[in-house]
Amino acid sequence: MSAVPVLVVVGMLLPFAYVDRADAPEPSAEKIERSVSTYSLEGSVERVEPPKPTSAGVTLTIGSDVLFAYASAVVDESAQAAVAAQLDQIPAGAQVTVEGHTDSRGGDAVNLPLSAARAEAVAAVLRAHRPDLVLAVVGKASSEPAVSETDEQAMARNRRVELSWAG
Amino acid sequence: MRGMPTSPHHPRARASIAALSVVAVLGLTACTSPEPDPEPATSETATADASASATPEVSVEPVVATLPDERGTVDVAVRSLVLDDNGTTMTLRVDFTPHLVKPEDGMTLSMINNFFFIFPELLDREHLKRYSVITGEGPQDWLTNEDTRTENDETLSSWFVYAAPEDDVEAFTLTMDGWALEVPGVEVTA
Repeated sequence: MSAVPVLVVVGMLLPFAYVDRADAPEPSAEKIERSVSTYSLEGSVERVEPPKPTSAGVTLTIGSDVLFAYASAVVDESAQAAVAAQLDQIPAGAQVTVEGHTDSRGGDAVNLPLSAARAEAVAAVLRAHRPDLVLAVVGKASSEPAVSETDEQAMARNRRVELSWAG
Repeated sequence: MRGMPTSPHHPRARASIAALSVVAVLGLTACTSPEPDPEPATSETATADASASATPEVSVEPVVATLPDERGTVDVAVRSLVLDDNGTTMTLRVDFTPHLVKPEDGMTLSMINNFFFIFPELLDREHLKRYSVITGEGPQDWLTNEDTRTENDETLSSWFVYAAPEDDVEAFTLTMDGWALEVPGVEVTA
């Protein structure tokens, strides 16, 4: 078998061997299409889950990143309506604990006041929309992480506000 | 507390495609080839197609992220956020230009981040949702060109794939919390 046609074909095919090379500045249309079957969308969108039974009774958890800008304790204006909608799940007249939690970055000097301010900001939304509720508001900083801080996504999960009431 | 360090990335796609190319060559020389398949898109073709169809650029001002521990800054320019033709994913394109105090040659995005993975997250605060880069089955397997490299003061063009918007969202906020970075108003285009 002559090597020439082999080399010719290899030379023709080699450029196509880099269709999906990881360093390409643009994903190929083929890779985008393949992404649907090769990769999983599951878990890639984090949303507010229904309240769950906990040691505190029933707890509704909202991630802080969708409520507040970085290092801010002001509930984002675009999030306020969605937060108010979540409050329909709380029974009338319930005693609700509002807890602010942070990741460990920055230490207690930053996180204690930030978590307390964020809990208070969410409590203000509760007072405005559910004046029937009895509130206790507390900042926990990073003292009660939801998960081990192994990567950026785990740290994001630890940044949260929890609303708890008796189930 | 910091994130996980990267492990050496093996170009799995290149090795497997190269091996398949060799097998394909052997097959072609041994028997009559069937009618050829349509020409697959190359990166050059994709680039040409992109320029021909003009991937819409977002009108978001570039921002400067200051890295922790006085390691330097990174210019971050969002180029586009486009809903893909499959209707189930959207692709974010971002340019990163590092200005590090102690740079290395051929830096990936994680190397710029002191060897810890960092990807943009997209926030839909109106619906209280957070979109992360979609993942594969292997460890540290995300749908992004994470192996792309750049030099200090030169631009690294990155892309990241996310699930398509679940709600009627006009714009997302891009965030990279490790860099204290937020870029609001990143519009989704079709």
